[in-house]
Amino acid sequence: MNLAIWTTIVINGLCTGSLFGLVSAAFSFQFGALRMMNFSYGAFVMVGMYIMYAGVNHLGLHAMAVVPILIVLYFFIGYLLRATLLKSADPNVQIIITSGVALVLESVVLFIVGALPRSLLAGIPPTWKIPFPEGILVISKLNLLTFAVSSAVLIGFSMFLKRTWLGMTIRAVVQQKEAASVVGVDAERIINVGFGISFVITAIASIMISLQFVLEPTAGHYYQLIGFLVCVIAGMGNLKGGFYAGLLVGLISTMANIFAATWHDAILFILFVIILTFLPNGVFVSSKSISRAV
Amino acid sequence: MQNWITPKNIVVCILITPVLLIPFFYKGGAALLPMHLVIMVASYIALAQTWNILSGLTGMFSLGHATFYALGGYSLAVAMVKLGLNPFVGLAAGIVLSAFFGLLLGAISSRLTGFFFTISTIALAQVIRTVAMQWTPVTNSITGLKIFRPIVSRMVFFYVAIGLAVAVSIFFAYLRRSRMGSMFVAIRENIHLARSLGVDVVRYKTISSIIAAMLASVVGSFITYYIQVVDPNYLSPLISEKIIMVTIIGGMGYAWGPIWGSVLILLEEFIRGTLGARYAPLATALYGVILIVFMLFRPNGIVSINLKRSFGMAIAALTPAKNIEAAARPEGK
Repeated sequence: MNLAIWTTIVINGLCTGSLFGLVSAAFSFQFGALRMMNFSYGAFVMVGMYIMYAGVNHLGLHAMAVVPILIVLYFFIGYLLRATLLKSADPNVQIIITSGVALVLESVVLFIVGALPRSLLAGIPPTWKIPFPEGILVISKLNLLTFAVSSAVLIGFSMFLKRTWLGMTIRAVVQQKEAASVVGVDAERIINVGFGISFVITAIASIMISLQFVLEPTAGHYYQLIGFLVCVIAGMGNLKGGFYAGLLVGLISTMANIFAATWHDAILFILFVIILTFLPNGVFVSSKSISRAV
Repeated sequence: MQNWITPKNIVVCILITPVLLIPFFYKGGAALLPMHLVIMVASYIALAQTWNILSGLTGMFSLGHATFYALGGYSLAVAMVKLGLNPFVGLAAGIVLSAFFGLLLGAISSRLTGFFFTISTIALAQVIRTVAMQWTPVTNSITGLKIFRPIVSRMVFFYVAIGLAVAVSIFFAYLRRSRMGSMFVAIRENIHLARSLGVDVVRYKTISSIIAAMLASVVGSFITYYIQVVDPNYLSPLISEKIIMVTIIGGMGYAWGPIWGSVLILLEEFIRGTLGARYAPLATALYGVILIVFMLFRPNGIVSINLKRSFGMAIAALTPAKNIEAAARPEGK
């Protein structure tokens, strides 16, 4: 293995990692800021992938036409989910209800499309070949696009929380619900909107995943666990740390895929349990969690 | 001790007696399907009861309970197929192995509570699942292990399954009333208060998870011996979710909970039988809907439905109000 191959591995790992960071951002925001345990977001990632697949392959739409539909749809799904089912503040109730939602989504998708894995894009995605001392650097354009979209979404989301009126209101409600209510913020509605916005991130993540990975009715479990893993490494509610932790997990995952592909999942999840047990506050611990200053 | 001869218990006995006599009502092959259904329901009762000890009593909300179930199944299968040993050796090995993992879970729970504990149970189940998928020389990967056992009459399995369910349920009811059970409930209700009153929280959490793990492994070994195959599907999140669903719909933390809830397992078999195997996922979707509806409107499950009061309210709603004053009164006063 020469330097060019190593560089390729690292770059691809970082690109996959940015996707993991994006996947975990929605969960990190839901749990860290809104105090919502959402065990159905893996299922929603999976459903988004299938909507993308159905839009492109069955309705014959352009991929870019499906994106806004999915985003608007997911905002309302998130809003309604919080407004109808997730009113309880008890974490166990939230876990059970969202697990129920995930169960329904998975089995309905399984019933409609069957268990056969599908893939949205056929063939090898276009790549850039860059000459490098002793070898050629092969970089997939799709990977770079993923990296760009993930970082843009995460930076945009932080800016949204920091700068816009709605973002500041969300932070106010997260910090002091009663005080925010006193000054005239409709706290319940703001949490609903915040949940809807986190679902927009889920929608974007599911679009990016559907471009690269295989679609399966059970795919959600994997991304959900990856999301948990990234959030745990970053510390809950730490969006910036979540991106770095995503990059780290992406690198580890790519390395594990190359050196011990069959034990890939076991390596990741043992790491997960170890970090969870010994560093429960996360590795990228920041004194600034979302609820404080983003 | 309380009085066991209550109207409710008499009704339950009258309902259960025909189930016990199923092998004698049907002749020959006709009895096989109903007996199979009862065996599956009974083993789900036993399995859900073990989860009930861990999560319903002690409040350690686990989403990876299938781990112990599968450990029992795999130990039995590996002992019989790969090592050629007596099934009871496999059963014992499964119990020991599960006890070890229960200890591990207890150790994890000493550091993590609530949501973090829950996700670590999912991760643990995934690790075991990966081992089951990848350790091919021992577990045969995705095809799983097929057991060849001497032919045993299904009637034996039938009564063993019912016996197992009854034994685990009685054990649960006994545990709930015992001193140790009180410790578990104290930990569930308020861990800080329990600690301040001198309950050794880590010790009792560990004991609870070891008990639950060992019993779940026994059920897993039994099911594997009965259906003669074990594969990584034993570790699918669906099994854990079914266990949880059964307990929560019935009533978490109550001995009767899993017993009422397990009747729902029949729903899947019913849909499979009437509409065909293709429609089986719809049963799972229906489980999810029932789970959500119960969580929203009856969070304590079927157990909390007071038939007398519900009937009373229904009758009151149907009969014209005799007393205008009573009718004019606001509800609930």
